[in-house]
Amino acid sequence: MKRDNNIDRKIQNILFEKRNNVFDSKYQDSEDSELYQIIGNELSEEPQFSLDSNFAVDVTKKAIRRKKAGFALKVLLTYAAIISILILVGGTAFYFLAKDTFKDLLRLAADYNLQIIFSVLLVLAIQLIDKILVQKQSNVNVID
Amino acid sequence: MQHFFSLNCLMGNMYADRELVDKILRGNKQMFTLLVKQYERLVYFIVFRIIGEEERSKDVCQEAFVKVFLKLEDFNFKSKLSTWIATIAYREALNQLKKNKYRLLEDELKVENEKFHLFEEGSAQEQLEKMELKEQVHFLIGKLPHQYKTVLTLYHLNEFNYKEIYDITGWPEGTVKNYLFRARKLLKDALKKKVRNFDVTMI
Repeated sequence: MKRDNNIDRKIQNILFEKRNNVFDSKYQDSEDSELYQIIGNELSEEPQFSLDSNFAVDVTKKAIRRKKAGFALKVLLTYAAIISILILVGGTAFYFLAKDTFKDLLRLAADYNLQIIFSVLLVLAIQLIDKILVQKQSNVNVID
Repeated sequence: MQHFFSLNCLMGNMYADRELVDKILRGNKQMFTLLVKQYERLVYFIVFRIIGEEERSKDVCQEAFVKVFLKLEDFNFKSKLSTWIATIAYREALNQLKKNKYRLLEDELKVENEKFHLFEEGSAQEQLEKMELKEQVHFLIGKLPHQYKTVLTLYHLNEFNYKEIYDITGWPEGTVKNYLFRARKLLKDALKKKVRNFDVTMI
């Protein structure tokens, strides 16, 4: 078994590693050597290639869309973080400066919670529709 | 002289890669399309050999190129662009394979057990009987664990050297050499067995 492996290693080194250029005829003529040559030829032959001719263009469009979406998400998160900080800081300052007015405002928000939620959702929906329309427009001219 | 020529070719290729990457980063989308065209065969062959299914391979190729586009800013020219792209393609294909945990585990066991044979099931051997020698080799390659298929593809088809295969897969040079040796030997032994069976039938 070990001897077999050594012979195989020798043949493989000669055929595939371009080492030991002096080809020993006892290996060259062997059945193993012939089989290795067939295998070597097949391994370096390209398998059937089946990507569409417009694959590159499609991938480019997809990649650009993904990058834009990632960028939009980053911007959205940044805005959300800034607005949250502003609300927090402003709210805290407002609470200490005008406690009663702050409490009134909170009560007002609690009374009109449905209207407030509806308004926020409406603004988000308009933003989303706007994004989709802009994206469709940019897809038309993506490969400019 | 030959060395000088190869060096010039290499420098030329590297310059082309740098120019291509710079233009893409400056927002030239057509240059990315060009990059995809330039490397689609490299990526497809790596992915297809690991995944083995045409349709899934196409999706994985697409995903790999999207990642290339998104990570292009991080490419630092310490390696060839082809090596970097091949690394992304290999990892993407492997991630897909990880979704089929059973197959992945089976491959790990096959590689650990150095004495495994390419056919233990009779049906595979029957299928092989009907094929021509060329087809048999490709059929047998498909039966190999993904580690062997990867090194065979990277070394023989994409002509990467051991160092580059290490960069792509993370396997040390000794492991790459060992996988290559064992993969070729498995293929040779399986073919030999087939040829001998054929001879006996002919007699």
